[in-house]
Amino acid sequence: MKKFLIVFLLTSFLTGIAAADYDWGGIFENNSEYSSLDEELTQYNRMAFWGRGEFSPELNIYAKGAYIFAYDDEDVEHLPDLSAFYLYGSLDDLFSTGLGYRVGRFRFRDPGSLILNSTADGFHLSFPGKHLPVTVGVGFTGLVFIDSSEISMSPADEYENLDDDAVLATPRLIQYVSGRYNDLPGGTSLTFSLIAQEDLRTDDFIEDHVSGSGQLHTQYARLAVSGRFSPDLFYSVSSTLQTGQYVIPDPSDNYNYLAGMAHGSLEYYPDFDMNPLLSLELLCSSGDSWSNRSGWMGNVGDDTDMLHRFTPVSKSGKGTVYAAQPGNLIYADLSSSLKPLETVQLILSSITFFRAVDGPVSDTSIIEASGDGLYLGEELDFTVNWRPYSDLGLALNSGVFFPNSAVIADDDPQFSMGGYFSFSF
Amino acid sequence: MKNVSFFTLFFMFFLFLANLSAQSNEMMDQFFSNDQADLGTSTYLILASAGKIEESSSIEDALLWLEKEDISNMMINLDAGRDITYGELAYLMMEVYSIKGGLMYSIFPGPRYAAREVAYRKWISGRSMPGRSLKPNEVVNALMQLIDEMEKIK
Repeated sequence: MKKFLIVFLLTSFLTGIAAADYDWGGIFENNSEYSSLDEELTQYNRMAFWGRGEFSPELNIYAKGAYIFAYDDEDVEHLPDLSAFYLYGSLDDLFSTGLGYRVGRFRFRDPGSLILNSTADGFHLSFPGKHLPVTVGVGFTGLVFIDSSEISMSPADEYENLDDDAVLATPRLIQYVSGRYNDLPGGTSLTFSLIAQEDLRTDDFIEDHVSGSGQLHTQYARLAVSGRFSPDLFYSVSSTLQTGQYVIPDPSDNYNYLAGMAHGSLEYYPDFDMNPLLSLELLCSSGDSWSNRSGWMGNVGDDTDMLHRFTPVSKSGKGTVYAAQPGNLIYADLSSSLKPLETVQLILSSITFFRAVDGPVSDTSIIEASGDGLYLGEELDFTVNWRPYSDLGLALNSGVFFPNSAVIADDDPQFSMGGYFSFSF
Repeated sequence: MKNVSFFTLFFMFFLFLANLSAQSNEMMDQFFSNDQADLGTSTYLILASAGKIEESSSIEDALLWLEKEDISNMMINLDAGRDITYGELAYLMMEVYSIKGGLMYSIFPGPRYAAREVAYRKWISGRSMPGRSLKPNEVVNALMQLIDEMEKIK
């Protein structure tokens, strides 16, 4: 019986392998940049290999791993990165619902990618209903390498990040459910999302290492509408309500979060030569005043019982030079793009930055004594993308940021210049 | 604009199908009645749409043309009744229409890098696995996309 079972399993496995469809490839990327803000030249080289095996509609596998060589003026880093390793498929034959699944390590995203956009280990299920397709997922971030993690850090995470011996990223449990209703007039769709993260750091770690810091648990409810006003004018608007708890074990205290973010975009594709695109993006995220929080990673104020800074699960930055993160941030990005040649794209952007209240922003050079203005500055970015072949791409990025001298002490214009190269095989 | 383009294209392809001989019509009926697109008819459609063979030609003529032009070297075999793969369809599209591919395709021309190229150009919808069998409507849609691109270049 045992022999029969072994032969059966081996035959099934080999038959599956023989029937499988495989593909593999690689991509080499280089990103080099000089920024006057950091006064350093940084270089990032990434050699990634990927492989995909499709055995049946129910069972397939995908993996992607990379070696990263990063350099800045002082440090050279050699980093491994396993960005994807998962099984996926559709269980349509089993449940007749078109249920799709993904299990393993992959990137978790919310529909707008402004709240959640991080690599984690877990599962994702999609129920492709005709009128209301729904996706749900659960992921754990604590097995991702710390240098590859994009999770927004708490003060405790920031402390651990400074430790050269730290290998793994902050342990958070991420859960989400999202649905999309498409049966609205004019091609309009309505998307809802509920996202939550639970900080799994132990009280002992925080008490032992970062006094006054805490565990960050947050929840988000997002509603978005997207569609088009005319065949060449597209829009999207979304609103996010954030609640949360900031639990400090020592001295024992508990603060609640009530924050929000609004986002909107317009994209206009006029029917002219050179494929022009005009776009306007607006983002407004709530923040804390100096009395609530002493700094971006600072302690909570004595008279505070409620925090208001919008804190997404994942980090993101706007702009090439200033790269400000959402949270006490307002920006308007007016952008235009042209393709004078089939392989060349020119992009010019103008980004105006404000903060929502007189309080800390992700630019830690701004302190309480800096001034009470809300206008932070203006950034102009210019990018040239050139893709002479489908597998070869080059880009030149440049930007200049004009700070508001009433808020930012070093009011000299700051700039960055860089290049990007990618080759796939 | 996209819709106009699609309907123009559909009309052109309809005219192409309408001009097929009675024998060819029978071939198309057979083609659409199968779950998977076969190599023979798919090859015939590509070659006939490019004007490389007469519309009254047979599937055997189409496969002979591949052999004559040395395109068949990169195919698994020329069994007309077997399924055509994503990579093979992509390779035929690239070679028959003399499309310049990426750097890797120019060094190693074949179904694998042809699949990458048509996936980049979004000519074949769905998963871009070189060994994946295709449905008849996927082959026809890919051909319509290709003809559309060729019309734009003219």
